[in-house]
Amino acid sequence: MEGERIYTKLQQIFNSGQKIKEFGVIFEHVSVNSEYYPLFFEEGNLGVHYQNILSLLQFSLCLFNQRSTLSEKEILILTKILLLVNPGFVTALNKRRTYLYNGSINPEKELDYLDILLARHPKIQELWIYRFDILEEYFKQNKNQINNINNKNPNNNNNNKKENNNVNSNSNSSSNNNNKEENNNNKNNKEINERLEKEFSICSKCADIYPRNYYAWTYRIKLWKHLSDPLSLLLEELNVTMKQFVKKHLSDYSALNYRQFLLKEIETQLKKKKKKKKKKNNKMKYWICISKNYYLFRICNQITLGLSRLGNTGNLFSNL
Amino acid sequence: MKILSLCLYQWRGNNITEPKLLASAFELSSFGFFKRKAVQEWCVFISDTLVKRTNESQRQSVKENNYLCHVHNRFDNLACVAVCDSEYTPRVAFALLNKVMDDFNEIYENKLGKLEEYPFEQIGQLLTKFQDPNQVDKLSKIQRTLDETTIVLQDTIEKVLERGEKLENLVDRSEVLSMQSKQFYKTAKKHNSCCIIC
Repeated sequence: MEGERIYTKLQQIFNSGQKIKEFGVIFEHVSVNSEYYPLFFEEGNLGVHYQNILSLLQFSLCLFNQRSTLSEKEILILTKILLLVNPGFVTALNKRRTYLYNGSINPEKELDYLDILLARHPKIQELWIYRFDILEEYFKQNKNQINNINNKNPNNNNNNKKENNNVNSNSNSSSNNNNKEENNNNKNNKEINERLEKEFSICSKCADIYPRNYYAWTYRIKLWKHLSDPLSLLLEELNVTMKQFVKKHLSDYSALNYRQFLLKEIETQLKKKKKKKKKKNNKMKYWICISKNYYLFRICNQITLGLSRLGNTGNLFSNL
Repeated sequence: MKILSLCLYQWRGNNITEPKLLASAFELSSFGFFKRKAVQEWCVFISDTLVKRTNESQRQSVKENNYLCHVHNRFDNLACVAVCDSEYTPRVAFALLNKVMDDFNEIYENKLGKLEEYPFEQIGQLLTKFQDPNQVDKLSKIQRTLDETTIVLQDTIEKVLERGEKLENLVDRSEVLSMQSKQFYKTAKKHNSCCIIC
């Protein structure tokens, strides 16, 4: 059975732990002498011949219907292969989700696996929702790790460590212990920032592949909740990253919608800090940004129209 | 806003029946690994067809899905094609085509047809330079004001082809396209959109 043969080969590749960068469909036959015949696998690029995909799909679906008889490991590999071919198969996705909350799946590796799926199918809603769930789980596990390391120190029994280096001043810990906690929190911050950078890059990549990609942009908006001190990053995102992106993708109104979100977010962050001088400077930037972008101007007009109809003056313009 | 490919051909004169590809450059990093080869072959195929179907001293812009192909067939037996996406400003594209042909002439003036190979590395540098049209020197953009010949705009590539000629036949007969690309074209046509699996 061809499907079974390809399935076992794929299983081999996944179990060998080699990193897969991309998955694709090939139209030329692979030579019989190659190592992964009938699959193509070079430098992390995995390819299946288009004539074999149907048999592979049939075989995996058949196996999936018998999943009550399979072990956990087998189901994990099965869903991985099934989702490669058909990433919209929500039942398999949900199965993986249960294992994620179980603890059988490593969130980081799962995020890397989703990268492969999203590169081919950037507009499947369920994948983005799943990605968000994995991210939450990843941050939860990170926090727990930090808490566990900090709780091992005997002087810090009642502290709930936040991500922001807020060391409890009532603790009688020695300076050594304090430094350790700070180092752990710093590491945590770095890891979080690194992970968020990767997420931002995936969002831009998917928005590049499929313009006006609603799901990628809403995911990008959700990412900002995980940052503790986002103001400088927000400004950088607005003035550097988004400027370049919008210039390259002129008709992408989802990108401009995201810019609008950034402006609102900057305003709320500034209100929190309550520094009036900075506010004035950002008001200037606000107006400069608006005057440069015709689409944004139109969107703002529509918002004010909508708000005035509702009877609100709108926080956006009343403070200026 | 990007340029996918830039191809320079020798066409007409000196017993030439098919356009001879002199130099080419591609920017396909936005495509997945498995699609790059097929996209490259398609760019060359489309450039070939367009050069043949453009009259002498004529510029054309042909729309194909969400890509716009700009072709300029010049009087001195040179022709150049740029495959860009629909957001790229056509004026800058035609300025780029002019620049490529002018630069080529600086090196190989009057030597067309006499040499076997024409190594022309600047084409790659020009492609990367022109990826961001805002950074391109504004003076040179204004200087290359288009002369009286207007640009013909075509909606689909079928309109460029001669009467009775079908794109499918051209694809089948083409030597440039590999089996893979031809197969991809056929399956894409069947599903009436880009192949669902691909």
